[in-house]
Amino acid sequence: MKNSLLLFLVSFAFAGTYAQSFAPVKDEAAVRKRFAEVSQATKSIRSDFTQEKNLSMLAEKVISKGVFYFKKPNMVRLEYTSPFKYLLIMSNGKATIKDDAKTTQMDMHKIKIFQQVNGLIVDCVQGSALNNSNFQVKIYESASQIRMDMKPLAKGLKEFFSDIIIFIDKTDYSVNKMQMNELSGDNTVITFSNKKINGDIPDAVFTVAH
Amino acid sequence: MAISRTLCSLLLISLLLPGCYVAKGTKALDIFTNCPAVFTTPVGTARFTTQIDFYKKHLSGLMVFKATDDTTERVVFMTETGFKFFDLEFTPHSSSVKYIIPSLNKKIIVKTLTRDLGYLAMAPPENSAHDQLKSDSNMTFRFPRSRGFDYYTTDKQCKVLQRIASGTDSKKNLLIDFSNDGDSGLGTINIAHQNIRLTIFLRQISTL
Repeated sequence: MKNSLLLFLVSFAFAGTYAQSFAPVKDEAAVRKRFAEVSQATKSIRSDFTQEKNLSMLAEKVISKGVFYFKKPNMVRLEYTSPFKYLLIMSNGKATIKDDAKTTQMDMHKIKIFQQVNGLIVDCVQGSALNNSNFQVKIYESASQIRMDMKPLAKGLKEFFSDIIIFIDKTDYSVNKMQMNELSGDNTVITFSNKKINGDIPDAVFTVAH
Repeated sequence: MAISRTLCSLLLISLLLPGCYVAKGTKALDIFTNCPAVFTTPVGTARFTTQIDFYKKHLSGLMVFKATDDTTERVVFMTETGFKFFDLEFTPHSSSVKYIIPSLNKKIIVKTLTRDLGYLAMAPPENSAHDQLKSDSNMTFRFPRSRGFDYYTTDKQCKVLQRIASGTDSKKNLLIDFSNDGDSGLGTINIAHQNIRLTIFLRQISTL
C-alpha cells in the first residue's frame, strides 16, 4: 500500500515535470511566422505583473507588484504599486523615472543600456524578440508554452546578464514570464497576469502626470 | 582681581563646554549591558526604499540588509526593477565586496559605501574604548578612531539610537540620523556627508 502510494506520488511528480519540460521547436519557421503575425497585430498591452528578485547568496526573495502598459511603436509604462511606488516610462526616446523623492528624465540614446532594455521589453511583449540583433536566440516548446533562451551579444547587456528566458503562451503568443539571469547567480522573474491585448490605452498613460 | 579673572575664565570654560565627559576607559561590559542601543547592530535584517543623491545625480532603489549569522551582515542595493548594483559583506573587523557593477567599482566609491553602510550593519565592538558624554536630553558615546572619533547618540535611557556622527568635537564630516514613524514602527535613516554633497536616505518598508 505504502509502495503504491509512493509510486503514485512519484508518477504524479514526473507527470508535472513532463508537462513543463521543453524541447527544441519542431517547426521553427512556423513559430517565427506566428511571431511575425502577432507582432503585426499587437497594438497595445495592459497587464498586471509580479516581480520576484532572487538573491541567490542570501536565499532571499524580494517581491514587488505593479501594472505594465505597452503601446506601439515603443511606449512602455512600468508602474510599481506595492510595496513601494515607482514609475518608469520609456517613450519617444526618453526614459522618465519617478520615485519617492524625484522625477528624473534622461535621453535613452545617451544611456545605451536603457535603449537595449527598452528594445528588449518592446521586442518581447510585441513578439519581435527573435529579430533582436542584441541576442542569440534559441527556441523551445512544451505543450502549452514556447520558451526563448536569449543570450546577450551586446556589450552592455553581456556585462550583467548570462541569459534572459522568455516564456510565451502558445494560445495567443503573449509573454507569461521573463526570467533575467545575472552573471552573479541572482535572477529577476517577472510574471504577467490579467493581460489585455489591444485595449484602448490613451497616450497620456505614457506621461508622468497620468 | 586675580580671583575674578580666574572665576571669569572658569565661567567661560564651563559655558564653552557643551557637556561633561563623565566616564572614560574600557568598562565596556557595563555600558554594553546598560546601553543596548549603542552596542546592537543599528540595522539587522530589513528592507528599505533608498534615495542616493550625489551632487546633481539622483539614484533610487531598494536596500536589503540581511544578518547571515551572528557576526556577519550583507547589504545589497538594487534598482526597483531588480538590477543589482552592489552586494557588500560586513563582519566586526572587515568588509568585502561580493559584487559591484563595473561603473561603481572605484576605490573611493567602494571605500565610501563600505564606511557609510558599515555603520548601519555593524555595532562598535563591545570592548571598544570610549568616552561618555551626558546632556539633559541624550547620551553620547565617543569612540576614538584612526582619524577623529565616532559619536553614538542615544536617548537618555540609552534605548534608542538617534544619531551616529564621525569627525571631531568641533567638526563632523558624517551624520547618520535615525527616526521612527510612530504609527507603523518603521524607521528612516538619513546619511549625510558634510564635506561632499552625498546623501543616502533609507525608508523602511514592511514586507516585500
